[in-house]
Amino acid sequence: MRLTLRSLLVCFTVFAVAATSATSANAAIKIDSNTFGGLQARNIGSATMSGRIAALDAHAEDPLTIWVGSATGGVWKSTDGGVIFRPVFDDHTQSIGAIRIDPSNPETVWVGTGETWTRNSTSVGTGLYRTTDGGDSWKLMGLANSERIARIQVHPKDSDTVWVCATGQLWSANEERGVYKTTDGGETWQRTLYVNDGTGCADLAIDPQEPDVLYAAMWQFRRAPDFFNSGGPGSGLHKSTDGGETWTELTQGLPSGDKGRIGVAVAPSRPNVVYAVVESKETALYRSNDLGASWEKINSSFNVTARPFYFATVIVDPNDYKTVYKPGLTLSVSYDGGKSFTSPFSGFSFGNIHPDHHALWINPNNSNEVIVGSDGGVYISYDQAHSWRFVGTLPVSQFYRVSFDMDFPYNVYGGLQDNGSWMAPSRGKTGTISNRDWDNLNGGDGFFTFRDPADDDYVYSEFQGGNLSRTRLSTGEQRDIRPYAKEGEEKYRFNWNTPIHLSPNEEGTLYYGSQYLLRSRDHGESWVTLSPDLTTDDPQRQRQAESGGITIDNSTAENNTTIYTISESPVDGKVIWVGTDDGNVQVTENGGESWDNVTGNIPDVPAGLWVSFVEASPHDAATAFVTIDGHRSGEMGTYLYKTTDFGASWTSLASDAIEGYAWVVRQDLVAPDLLFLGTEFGLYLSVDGGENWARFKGGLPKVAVHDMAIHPREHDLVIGTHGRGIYIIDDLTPLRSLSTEVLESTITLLGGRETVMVTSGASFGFNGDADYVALNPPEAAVITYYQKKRHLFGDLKVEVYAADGELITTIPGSKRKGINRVFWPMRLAPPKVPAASSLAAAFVGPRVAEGNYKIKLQRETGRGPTLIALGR
Amino acid sequence: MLRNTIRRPLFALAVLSLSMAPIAFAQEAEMATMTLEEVLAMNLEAHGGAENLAAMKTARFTGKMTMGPGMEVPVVMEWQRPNKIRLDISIQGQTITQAYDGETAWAFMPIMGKTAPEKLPEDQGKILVDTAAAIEGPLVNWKEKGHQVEYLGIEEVDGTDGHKLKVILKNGDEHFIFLDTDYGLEFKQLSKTEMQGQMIDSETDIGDYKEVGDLVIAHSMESKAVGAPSGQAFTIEKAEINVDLDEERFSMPAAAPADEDGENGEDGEDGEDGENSGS
Repeated sequence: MRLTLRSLLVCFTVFAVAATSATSANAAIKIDSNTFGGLQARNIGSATMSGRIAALDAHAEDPLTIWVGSATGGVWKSTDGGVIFRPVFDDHTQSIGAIRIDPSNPETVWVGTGETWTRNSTSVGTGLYRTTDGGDSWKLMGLANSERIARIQVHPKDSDTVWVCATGQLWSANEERGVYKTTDGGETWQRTLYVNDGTGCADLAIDPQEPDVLYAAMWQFRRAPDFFNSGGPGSGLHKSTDGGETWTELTQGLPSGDKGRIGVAVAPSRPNVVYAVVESKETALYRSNDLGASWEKINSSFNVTARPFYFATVIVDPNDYKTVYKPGLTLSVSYDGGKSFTSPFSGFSFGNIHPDHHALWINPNNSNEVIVGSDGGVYISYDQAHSWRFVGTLPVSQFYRVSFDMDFPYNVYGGLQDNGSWMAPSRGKTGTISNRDWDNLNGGDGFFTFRDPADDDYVYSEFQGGNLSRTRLSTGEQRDIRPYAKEGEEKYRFNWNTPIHLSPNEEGTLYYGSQYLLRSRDHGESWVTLSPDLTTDDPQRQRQAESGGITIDNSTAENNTTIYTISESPVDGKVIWVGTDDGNVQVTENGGESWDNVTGNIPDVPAGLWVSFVEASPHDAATAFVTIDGHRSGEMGTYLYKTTDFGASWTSLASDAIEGYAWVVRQDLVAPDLLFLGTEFGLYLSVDGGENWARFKGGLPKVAVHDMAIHPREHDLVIGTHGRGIYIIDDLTPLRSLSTEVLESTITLLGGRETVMVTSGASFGFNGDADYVALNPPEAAVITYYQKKRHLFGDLKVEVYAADGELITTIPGSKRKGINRVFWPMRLAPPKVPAASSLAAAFVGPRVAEGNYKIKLQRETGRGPTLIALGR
Repeated sequence: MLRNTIRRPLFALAVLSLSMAPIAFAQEAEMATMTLEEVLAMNLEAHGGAENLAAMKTARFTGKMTMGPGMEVPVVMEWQRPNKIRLDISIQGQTITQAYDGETAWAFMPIMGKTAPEKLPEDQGKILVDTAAAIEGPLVNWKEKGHQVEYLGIEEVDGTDGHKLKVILKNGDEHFIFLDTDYGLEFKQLSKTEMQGQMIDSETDIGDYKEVGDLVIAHSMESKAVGAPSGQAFTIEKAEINVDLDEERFSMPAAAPADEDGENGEDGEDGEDGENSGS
């Protein structure tokens, strides 16, 4: 950032009166989510690249209300035609598979959780939910073990009759999949179509004129860490004519051998016409003119055949049975009943929108109005998909990794699923962080991104499968620095999400992981190999080229037997830890001369599970933390371990308070007992070295936390979520003093970082409401205190005194249980101005002088004031 | 911003009883089976009973409004049963007055270049009317006031258990009010209010309860839009009950332009404005 800020230091040296003795490390500190109370994470976006959209719906009678289901970022609702969106599902899993508005009552909306665009990075659902108040509250309606739901149909005239297309588990067999039906509004469900425990429902279409007629696409599929299979004998298209009670497989005219994923749609204006895109050895679009009795193959162009498992959906214009949309790699459309499609691949462009389309809504009252959900957000068209308006208020960006630099204000870096690599300021120069504050650094799927501390004109970034590059910020020049195998080495295997690691001890030393650990000390110009193959090198896990099932899908997404995580000890640069995607944890204590495979020392974990993170302790060279993520093998538990003897022995730190498979663990830079754990279901904190954990809820949804970084100067926690962008917890120093004594105290003033006075620059942009705007940290000194119980009686106020004892201001206290924060703008009283017929621009006073100020926290109990704590 | 702030009503002052000791039936086992009537009785008991509350004929609250870090203004609010209200806000050596005398909502804003009091437009007047009617809170005599109140049981909010009440005001605004389980005092309110055609979600923290005469009054109300880091706080420094108030203080001074088109805000009922909608 190139900001000129007027900076001044104001120091609070706060000591807590109530905390009188040192913390006993072994004391059981009972924390819960409310302990962190008013400590809030601040989302900085971005919505400029948005993220994958899995489902959307709107109602013909109220097209200004739009519901969007993000693949990993929850449910969002707009009531203004897509200008502003707000999240309405933050307390639940953020992985959405299906959304359906009740046609009879638009305040009732069904949400099926668990995305069914089952790419390698997909998340997991927790069942079927319903709101009856437009999204204010949600109730779990069943199918909690279905993991994924592809489609929901609500009877057009009977709100109590609902059909659910449950896809089921991706990485393991289960029986909660198939077509489910309720006739009592979800109180009870009958599974009316089931094939086997590896086959689920992938699409469900209803005849809007005769709702007893339904079509269900059944799909056999499975993923492993190193392989994906779409297709098998379980796949097939089924029809019911009795409201989904009984089903018959449709075969006439459809491919006879194994099929893969099928998308099916009824033409609403002429329901005897049904379209189905069927994955098979010869994937094609099929059409039936006789209610599914017989089918004709009508199109097998790339428009309809691309990546069937990822794009198996087809939509018919509600008002014209011959206009057929095929979301896919691009959005293709046929105006002749599927015989021909237009798209960029056939010489017709649909404009500058993100590729990879999964969801589409056409206004039944106006076919020109089309909404599409892509891998890069939502677009709206009013001219039948010819020109598009991007929705800039959906910050559902899917970060894999985050980092920071040491500028002031510091910048945040990160890479995203299908949306490249980006950087943005942690504090925008005009008072906010908006979409235009984000700068793009690289394309494709982005992952690790780092500013080079040895030459801050360089940024390292990558795209999928190990394609590392170096960008010069001043010119934009980009250079490919991907390492290639040297003589005597096997071809390098790089993970989809290949780890880059910066040495915490030597500026300019860069690590990269294939199956070997590689190191560069010349900005990536050359690489030395520091290890033998650190993986299992299991050939059974090296099947990327054959992955995909009926349709080969070789995208590097299933690359396996690779290094996935690297951590050099900040205490001793010769100690380097490596974790691999096939279950190995390896450590060197001599800079790579020799390696110990310590995998076998980790107790109670199935072999071969993905090592998602290794964190070398910033406090002790022999100490490290490791997270193991088994979800790609169907193991959904939390695996978190600590060693204090270079991996010779490990202790589990997991607890029942933690939900979700683990992605990342960080140990605080100052307080060794303060740990941060990111899982598929949010952020968890421990203040006692991992004995007790509690979910951090302050402003942070139940979203997957894939990466975290602690800024050593600002003491901020930077959180990379896979679905809701980047969050920052500004100044986590109060968490460092949450000792048993503090937690048990009535009220205690907690320490904070020195405050830098910052004044925002002026802004003269008036951009309307269509861009997401994120908040800066407050331009104020943040005063933090803890109270065991909510304050109810008498005054609770914070007084600020100058060094000479003069009272400068009194701030109303925040009252909640746990941590509270109040904000002092570091200003004197406003100047007195003469009475006049217009207001003077003098609402705030001048900034106070640099220095130390004393804080008094006053809390009455109803029987007179009690002076609790003082700062200096 | 300032203009909006001035228009903004003060949050309803929940008026509660002297009783600071947990009342007998507030035991956990029994709380689980409490009915709406019992919860409201607890609340009214905390009011000191209907009698003490009804004895409050006038009130004056002197305090300050904090509109954001470093921005605060002195405020005096005067109230007379059943629905008269006057607000005096001091800014830069001038006093801005807004008032409602039961028939006409008016304002005098010398700081906006006005030389005489003026009648307020209906939507602005409505806020005053609602505030006047809301002084004792919507739970008191809610049926007579035309509200709907539903008891939803005990639910945690911000880490504190509370009796959760769903209140739909006669004007359609929707609130969830949380009463603390020991005393039955309001401590948190989540609101969905209509402001200029938009539904706005806001939250209000209520606290700093103090004895004032025979009543206990919340001395701190802080409201903010849901998700915002901070909002607007009203802190009462001095609360007086049954002070002598000149009835004329609520009426628009004679110097004002003649009333031309009827009354303002006569449809107003008890309601609290949840959040300002920006400026």
